Order: sequence, then C-alpha cells, then structure tokens
Amino acid sequence: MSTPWWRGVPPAVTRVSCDGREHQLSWAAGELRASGHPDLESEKILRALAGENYACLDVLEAWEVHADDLRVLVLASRGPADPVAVRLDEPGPTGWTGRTAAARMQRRRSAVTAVMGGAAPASREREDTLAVLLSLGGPMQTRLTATVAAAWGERLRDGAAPADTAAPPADAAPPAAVAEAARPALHAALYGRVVATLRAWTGRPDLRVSLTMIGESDRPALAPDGDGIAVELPFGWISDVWARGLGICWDRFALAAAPAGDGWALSTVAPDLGPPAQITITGPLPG
Amino acid sequence: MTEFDAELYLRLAAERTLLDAPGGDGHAEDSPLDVAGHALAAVGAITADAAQAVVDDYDLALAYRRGEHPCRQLRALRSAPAGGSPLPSLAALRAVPCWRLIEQPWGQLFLRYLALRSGSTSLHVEMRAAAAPPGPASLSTRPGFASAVCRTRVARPGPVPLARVSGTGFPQQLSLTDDRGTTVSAGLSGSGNDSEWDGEFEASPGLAEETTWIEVLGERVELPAAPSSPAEAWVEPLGGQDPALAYLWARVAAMNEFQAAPNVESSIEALVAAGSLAPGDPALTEVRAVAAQFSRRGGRAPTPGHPGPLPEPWRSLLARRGRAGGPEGLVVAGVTTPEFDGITVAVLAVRSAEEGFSADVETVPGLRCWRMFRTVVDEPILVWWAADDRGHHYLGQHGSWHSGQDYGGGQIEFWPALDPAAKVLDIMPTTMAARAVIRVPLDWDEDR
Repeated sequence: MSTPWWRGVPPAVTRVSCDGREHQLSWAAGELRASGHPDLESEKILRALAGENYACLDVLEAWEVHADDLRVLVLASRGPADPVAVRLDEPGPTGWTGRTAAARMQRRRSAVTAVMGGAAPASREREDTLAVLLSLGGPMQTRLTATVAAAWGERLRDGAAPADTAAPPADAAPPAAVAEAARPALHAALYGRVVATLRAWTGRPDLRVSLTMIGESDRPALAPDGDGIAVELPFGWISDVWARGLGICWDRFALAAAPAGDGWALSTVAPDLGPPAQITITGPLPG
Repeated sequence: MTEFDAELYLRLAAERTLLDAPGGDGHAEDSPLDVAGHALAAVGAITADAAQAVVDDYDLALAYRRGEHPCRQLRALRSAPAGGSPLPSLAALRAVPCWRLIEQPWGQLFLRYLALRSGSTSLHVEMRAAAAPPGPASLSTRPGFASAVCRTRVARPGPVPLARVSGTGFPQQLSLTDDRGTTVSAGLSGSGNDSEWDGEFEASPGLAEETTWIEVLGERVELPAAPSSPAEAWVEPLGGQDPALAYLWARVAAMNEFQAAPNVESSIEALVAAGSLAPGDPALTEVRAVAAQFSRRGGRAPTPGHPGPLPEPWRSLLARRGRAGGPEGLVVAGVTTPEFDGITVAVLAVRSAEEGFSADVETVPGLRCWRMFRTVVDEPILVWWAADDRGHHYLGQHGSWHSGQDYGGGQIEFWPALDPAAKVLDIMPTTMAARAVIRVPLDWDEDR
C-alpha cells in the first residue's frame, strides 16, 4: 500500500473571522476542518436559504474547489524565502465575505444554486476564493500546495484523474491528455520550489539551476553544472519532500523521501555535491 | 533534439523572475516575461492566448509578493477573441482646415480643422485662457506644436446649449451648426492645463459631411473645397523578411528611447531558444548595436562585435537625433488607408514645429500604446515610420493617446524635426507583414 501523500506533513491551524467570532480551521491528515461548525451540512443549507455568510464554510468550499487548481502552484509560496502575503478586499463584519447587501443577495442566489444543482463558480469568483485561501498564511499555503501537487502527481503516475475528484464530464479531455497539457505548469512549479530550496541550501541567491523533470519512478540525481547545479527530480518531489519540509536535512539536500518505520529514509546529497547517501530521520518533522 | 516548448520556456522565465526579484519595481518597463511572451507569440511559437494566460498568472503572483492589490482589468481590455463580430473599418472622412480665431470672455478659441465622417464630426481646436499673458504666448493663427503639459487625454462630457464653460475657463461643450440647419452638441477631449488646451470637440451623430460652412459660437466659418494636392494612401505588403528578424527590428523601433536595451535582449533570447534565430546570426549584432545606441538609459552601451556603421535607416536617423529647425505649420490630410494586417489608419493632420512634428491619427482596431499595457502580449506591434522626399527617415511614438477595443486615436510624435526643405512626407504605419503609406504634400497652411 502506498504512503498517503499527507503522511509526515505536520498539522496546521489558522484562524478566521466567522459570523462575528474568531474560529479555528485546522488541517491534518490531508483534510481541512472547521471545529467551530460541528454540523456542516445543516449550516450549509441554512447559509444558502438565509443568505448568511460563514467564512469558515467559504474556506472549506474553496479548499475543495482548488484542490487540483494548477494556479495554486503558480501563486503560492515556493518556500520560506518567498513569502506571499495576500491582501483581500476590506473585510466586512463577518469576515471577507460580509460586503454589501447586493453582494449578499448574489451570494444567496449562488449558494442556493450550488446546493440545488452543484453549479461551478464563475472564474472571477474562483479567483477570489483562491485569494482567500492564500491569505490563510504560509503554513496553509504549503498544505494547499501539497494537496494540489499530490492530485497532479497521481495523474502523472496513473494517467488518470485523482481519486478524490469527481468523475469528469463525458465531454472532458482524457486524463492522460490533461496531465500532458499540464506538464509545463507542473515542471515550472517543481523548478521554482527546487531552485528556492537549492539557493537556501547553498546560500547563493543567484544560483543557476538546470532542472530535468523525470518520471515518478526514475532515479533522481544532482550534479555540478558549471557554476550552477543540474538536478533531475520527479514532480512528486514537491509532495514527497518539499511539502514535508525535508528539502534540506542536516545540511544535505534531499532528492527523495520514503517512509522507514516511524521515520523517513532520505536520499540526500552533501554540500560537496558528491554521490547521494541515505540518511534516516525519526521523530516529528519540521513544520 | 528536444522539441522547444514555448509554454515551458515562458513559465521557467517567470519562475526566475519571481525568485530573483519578487519585490522589484515591475512597472518601470516591460518585464522579461512580457517581452518573451510577445516575441514567442509573434513568431507563432505559442498562441497569444496561451502566452497571455501565463503572463497573467505570474503577474498576479508578483502582485501578491509586492503586497499589491492585483489589478485584473487589463485582461478585460484584451482584444475580442477570434470569431467575434468583425470590427467596422474606419470610414472615409473629409478633413478641412478652418483657420479661425474666436475671442471669448473666457479666452481664445482657435479652430484648426474639422473632420467630418459618416456618423460623427470633430472640431480640432486649441484654447488659451483669458488669464494667459498677452504677447508671443497668445494664440496665433499659425499653430505649431501644442505646448500641452498634461499628457493624459481627458474627456469632458456634459450636454449644454451653445457652449458651457468649465470652472477652469474652457468650454466643455460647443454647439456646431451646418448648412443644412443641423445643430449638434460636441464634447471636449484632449490634453492641457488650466491655461491651455489642445484637443477636439466631437459630436456623434455629426454634421452633414458635405457642408460648406459651420457655425461656432455665433460665427460662420466657410469651409474650403478639396485641397489642390490631396493626401493619398496605399498599402504595401512586406514579404521576404525573416519573421523573427522582422519582429526584432519592429521591437527596437517600438522601443522607448528611455527603455533599457535588455528588453530587446529578452526577445532575442526567446527567439533563439525557440529556434527562430541562430545565436550567431550576424543580424543580431546589428540589432543589438542599434538598440544600444537608441537607448539613452545609462549612456551609450558598448556594441561589441559590430565594427561597421549601423544599418540604414538607423544610422542617419540616430545621427539626426535631437536636431531641431523644423518648419512651423499644419497640413490637413484627412485620408484613410485601406486595411493592412487587420488595421486601418486615418491621418487627419500633420503639425510641425521647431523641435519635431506630430500626426493626428485614428486607428481601427483600438491599438493601445503597448508600453502602457505591459501585460498585453497579443497586441501587434505597429511602428510609425515616416520618410520625406529628401531621403530622411523619422520615427514616431505615441503622444497623447486614447484607445478602446475597436477604436484608438491621438497624436503620433515623430523625431527628429522635419527637414524644412521637404515637400512631401510619407507616414508609414508598419506591422511585421505590411505597411500603409500615407503621402502628405507639405503645403503648410495652404488654405489660410
């Protein structure tokens, strides 16, 4: 049985202003949960019928909508050296969504439509909800990135739609074609995170990196390339290594990570860029 | 050999931009990503839509990193998708000089010329407030370069009879009457300040195109018949050019002289990566040399590897940069080109002054000033070349300009100053595939 992508990704918590109170949203084991809303389904119906705004529910829905959104990989942080602080519109009394009466009515119509028919949000609304997710802060951005990366990693591996997404409509492109079309975006997402990690590791903010995106089952590698570094990694490095905070361990760059008992076996390269060596770490991973 | 993937090239360039300078000033000039996207789309290595999508996404990513509120309206300003209803062409127009100075309590109104089209009329004027000191600064009936200070084109709508005077003194509306008895209310646009305004009063619907006179502020202005040497226009295809090199030369010509030459370098890198250009192509040395000499950023950059003179017309053009001594006057042209490369241009008039000359133009579709909308990568480059009958070349850039999706217009300002001995001027809006030639006899103020 394969390792769940979220294993080893530490839980994270954020707070949102919801219905006049501060609520906690927590992420653990690949799921985002709103502890302040024990009866989610009832509250969704109430929200739809009464046109009420619950920021927590908005975030949960947005998380689902963007769980395989490639734009997350473009917009979210590449690592600690790349902070992304999203400014939202001025918040209303109940959080980001409490704006005007007209907006409330529009929300009510949209929510009723969504409950009754499951309509997809318009692109502008999609963009706004992604901004809301990014505004939750760096740790949540990392977990959202890991979620998206895991979904696309699965598509690349299997040439099929991720298991946690709904069946595609009959007129949708074949999953393999979708994954192939997304390859430049996936490659660039990997490149950005690898470069950010390598620059932090070497302490060279101008380090030149040449990345080859290899197959998920191919052997990763890293070698000097003139005054830069050439590295060969699979797209899965984002969820396997980067999202778990394992990119740099004990001053070594991690090429791959695999579960080993209660810990992780890492294939790593030392600062002298010599051949990879395996190290094993146990205990809680860095968050 | 691995096939070039233009989308991947763009995305990796964007990642480098993001990681190298996420907090940098992204508004100073075109980003390398925009430039590369434009170049790759221009040579067909990627569709404009695909390139634009990458640029839009990374612009948003950069905006988040700069702590900016992302401004997404630029996407909405993009051209209509292919398959939409075709844009109407610019109709033929009649442009006639007016040469009338009208004194008003608020100041002076000088009527330069009138443009009459099917559906609209525009009266091009210069105004000076009464508070302006008398003497040489007052309006003469020999208008030269407008001394407009404000570069933003401003519309001042608001219906009033005859004339409505704004708080700063200039009328925002004028009533115009033709020989058929039709009266229209024309609204002011243009550029200027509290003491001077250079612009036009436009009414839609307009006056009769064949009217022999108009009445403005109670004064009748007789309109002349057709000029003795009418302007004419035609279109010439530009065949046989290497598309990538043609793009690069257009890119250099469209460059602002205060832009840095590295913008051209980003184009070269993208085109070489795409295989559209060989890295050792000797023409690249010429392009780099011209771009370096054209750019005033940081002084003259060295041009290694280019021992000889610059190619023409750049050599003579750059040698004459800063030269003044142009004639002062105005020629009304009023000519519309046939469509070329999907564009139609009308040249209403040419104004010359000591330090340069300008053309009042209209375009369909509404070509924007590319540098003002840095994220629009699917906009074709339209370069405004001009040449006179003395063998001199001139290059134009957008001055005061306004644009929508289906219509644009304003002033194209040319440099250097016009040769006073020139008798004919060819204005040549040029795309990568074709150019229009608008031939204007330089009979300065012939109808006064």
